[in-house]
Amino acid sequence: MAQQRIDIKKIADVTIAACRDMKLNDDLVIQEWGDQLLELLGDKSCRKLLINFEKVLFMSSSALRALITLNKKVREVGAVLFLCGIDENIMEAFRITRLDNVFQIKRTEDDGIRSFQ
Amino acid sequence: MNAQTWKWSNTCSFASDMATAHKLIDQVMDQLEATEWSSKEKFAINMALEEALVNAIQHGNDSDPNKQVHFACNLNDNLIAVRIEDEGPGFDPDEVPDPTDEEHIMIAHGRGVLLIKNFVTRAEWNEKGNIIEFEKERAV
Repeated sequence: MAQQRIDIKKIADVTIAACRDMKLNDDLVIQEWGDQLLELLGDKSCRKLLINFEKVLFMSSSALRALITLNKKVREVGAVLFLCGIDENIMEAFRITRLDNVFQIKRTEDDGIRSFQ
Repeated sequence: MNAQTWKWSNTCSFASDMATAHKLIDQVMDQLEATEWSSKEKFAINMALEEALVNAIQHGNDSDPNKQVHFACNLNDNLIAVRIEDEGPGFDPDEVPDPTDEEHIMIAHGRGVLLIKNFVTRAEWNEKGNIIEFEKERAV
């Protein structure tokens, strides 16, 4: 059975998915994490999604790839996605790959929630 | 590579398996921690090791457990030097589409090589493309 990779809460109509793992580099972890995020979008009440990375200290290109897959699904279902709480070292990986231009990234969870309004 | 005196070295060969690769990365990270490399440098080296080992195991050796990865890591107070060889057909890193191009920004693959090149001081592949050597200098 898959381990829970995200903690989910809802504030008004914003679904917040907080990553549980400190490292997103293991194939199984990334698969489960990505599947659980995709599953959220299967619920029509989840059209404003905020992913909180504050516990994550490392993520590989495989995790970035899972985020790109998620972003395609976000567009497909007409949802809005924000990322927040990204560690400065990981942010550098977003900058290098220019994914900081693809994703809407906010510093804190509160900033992220406010961005949907 | 320049002639260096190393304080820590690890040379080994292992079957294509990311669990073994992650244990090796943890050993290297423990050494960097013990010698007080900065968080930024440790992250950069972790990223380069992760991406280079994924390339060797999953793309080079096609995750074939009968194929080996040959790993060598040397470390002193100022420099880490890594060599990773797989038993696959090799690839040309210059032929990997630039994932930062507008037309490729949403493609799934190709970010590993880009991340390695950006996070280390020097990264080179042999002509066949099945051996990577990279170095990271410690900030003064």
